[in-house]
Amino acid sequence: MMLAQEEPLRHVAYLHDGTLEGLLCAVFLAYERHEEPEDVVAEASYEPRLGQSCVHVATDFERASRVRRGVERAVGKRAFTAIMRASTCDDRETGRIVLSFIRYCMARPGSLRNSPVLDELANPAVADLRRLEKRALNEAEKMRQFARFSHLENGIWFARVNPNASVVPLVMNHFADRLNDQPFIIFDEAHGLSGVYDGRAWQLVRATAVDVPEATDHDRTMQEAWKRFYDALSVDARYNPELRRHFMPVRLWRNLAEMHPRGSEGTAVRAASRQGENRIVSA
Amino acid sequence: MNLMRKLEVLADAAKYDVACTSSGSDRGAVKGKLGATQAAGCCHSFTADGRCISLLKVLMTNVCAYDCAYCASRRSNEVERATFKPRELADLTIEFYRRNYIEGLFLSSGVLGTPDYTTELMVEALRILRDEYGFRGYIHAKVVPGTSPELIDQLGRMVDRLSVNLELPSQESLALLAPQKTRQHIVAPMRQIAEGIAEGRESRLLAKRKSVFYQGGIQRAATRHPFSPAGQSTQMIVGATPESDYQILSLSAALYKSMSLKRVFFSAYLPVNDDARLPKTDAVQLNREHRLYQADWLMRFYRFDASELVDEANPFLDPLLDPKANWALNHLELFPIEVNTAPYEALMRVPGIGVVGAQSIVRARKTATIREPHLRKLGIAYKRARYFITCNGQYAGAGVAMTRESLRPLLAAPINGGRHGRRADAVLPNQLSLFGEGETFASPTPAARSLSGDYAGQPPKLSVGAREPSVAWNLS
Repeated sequence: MMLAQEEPLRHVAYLHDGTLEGLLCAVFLAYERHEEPEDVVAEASYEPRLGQSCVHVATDFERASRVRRGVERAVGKRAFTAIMRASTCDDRETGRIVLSFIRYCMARPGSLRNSPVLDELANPAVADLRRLEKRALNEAEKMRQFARFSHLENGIWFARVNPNASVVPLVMNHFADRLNDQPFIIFDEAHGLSGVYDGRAWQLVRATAVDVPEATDHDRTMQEAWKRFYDALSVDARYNPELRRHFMPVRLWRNLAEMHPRGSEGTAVRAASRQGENRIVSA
Repeated sequence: MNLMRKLEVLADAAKYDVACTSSGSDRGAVKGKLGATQAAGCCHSFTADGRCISLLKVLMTNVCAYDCAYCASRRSNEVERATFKPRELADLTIEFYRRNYIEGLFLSSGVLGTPDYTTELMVEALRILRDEYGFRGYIHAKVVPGTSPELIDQLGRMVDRLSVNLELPSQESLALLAPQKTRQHIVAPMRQIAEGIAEGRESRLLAKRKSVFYQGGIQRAATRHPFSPAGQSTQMIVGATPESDYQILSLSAALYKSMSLKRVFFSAYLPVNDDARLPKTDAVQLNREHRLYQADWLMRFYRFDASELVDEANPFLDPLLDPKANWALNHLELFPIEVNTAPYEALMRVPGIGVVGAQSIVRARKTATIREPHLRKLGIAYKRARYFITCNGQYAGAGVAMTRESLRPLLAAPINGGRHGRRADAVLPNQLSLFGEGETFASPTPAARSLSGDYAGQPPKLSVGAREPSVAWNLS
């Protein structure tokens, strides 16, 4: 609902479509309407507060890129990159933090022109954004570490991930570079976003569910081999599960073949892998 | 033997190699070729002991002609033996890499026949990977002691990092525990690698420089196949022999300096063999290893010198206090420092402020005066740091006397070894000095020390009969 208005609202939430462009349009709107929204959140995750009215932000690429150009002109490209990364975080505060960071950037005293805005770590507007940026980068690193591809019957390599920030766009270059001619899909189940690479270029596709064929027998063999390798590499005398959990949080285990239970499920895997095993040996 | 079992056997035999880093090499992607590396490296999994798996860490073979006392694959042990065919190993690496299980390959080996023959097998596997499959991921190879220089050169041009294991912190210990490996077998390749890397760096610089004179083909070849671009590393076993932390750290410092090593790895001695030359102890000196690594970090990233951390009078690191805090307590006259004005190097030496924290402080103070609430948010351990700093003139450590005695309990931090691991077993000191007959080295470290007392000033006593080697390693 877009109010005819023009009286600025005091208790208002801006609801955008959850994309970076949507968020930037919300920032644009805050300037346009001279309002200080209490919340700037994705529509899907909105939790209304008592006495709060809400404004639905229409996503408009022209407006979004005006905000982008404005930020880049005022404080440089690196600062916009930080905004882009921070915006991937699921945190409810993300939108508000980005808004107050942009407000600070646009109103920044000219005397500071020669020092990067992101170095102002003692400024809460900057520190908050840096905190989100760091969180997003950490999550992206986790994805680079722990995304696991399996080879499907149709020749595609498929990875299912459940990150706590929508960082698929941040890792696509990394995987497209190194896997090169290998077509793959990274499906972010938690955010309904897929990165699809066809062997030449990648793009993002929104989809909350995917229907993928089975992994090949050979792939199951490799998963089994990887599991065995993983188990063989641990030194019992140094057993320290807390340390492992620290580096590899339990929330990520469900997508890691090496952490899947060996017992009942393992027998099925092993039966399936026996065929594949023969194939390697005879090859 | 099928490939699955082979992988298991050869991974199991490789697990005692400590290094699993994929760092130091930044190689971008090339169209049509698999793989790339990033300078920071990437860990792809963590084993139940909390160590990272970054590379497919395996031995080419666990057949071994040598008989080193500490090694599970030594000749005289009855274990299942296996050898990879070069192509099997190359295929497995590619399969794992495509699934994002690994950053690349870590290839070590037992000695199959002769060192040269073994290395030829390794070179063949790497040739298939690099030349046939065009693999651009990370490769770390171990040099088998006794390999001829020509083969080392060949190996070095296919890998990112080479390493030669020093194995033990002194020549004397090496002679005792690994009689087939000589100083020459280890130091000569190290020296060769160091020179190869330096040469490569020089010619890369030359090739980069725009100049009018003809540079010849050699430099271009060096750029295309750089020699071990991510440097070299080494590792040594700690706790099997009586060397002190002072000797170990002095040796590491010498290696960093004279051999320009990237890393020296320490591996707490794990009893895998029953051998009269080895200490009969069941205690793994994990805490000692941890303190040694802390000291190692201080030398590599905090510009500390080995002599600042331990000396002949105090040859062991304090088990209850990290080496940086210990240094600060010995130099209280330098503190407190003002965070708004102190140079970066001084900030890094404050307990509780690390490299990242110091960098943040230096950045933040360019545009603002740092006060306590800011400082708390800059990613430093304020609780520890407050005794050593003033914040815009304010000292927050008031109420505690600026003396070693009163500060030590506040900074002492036992190593958190987890609640379930071996360190969690209440191992009593002095319980473990059960030594066998014959010539043996005593285990002088944490086990023999009182864990509660402050022993600064009094070096722990070595058990009777232990020899203190005079020269650890002759590196020339």
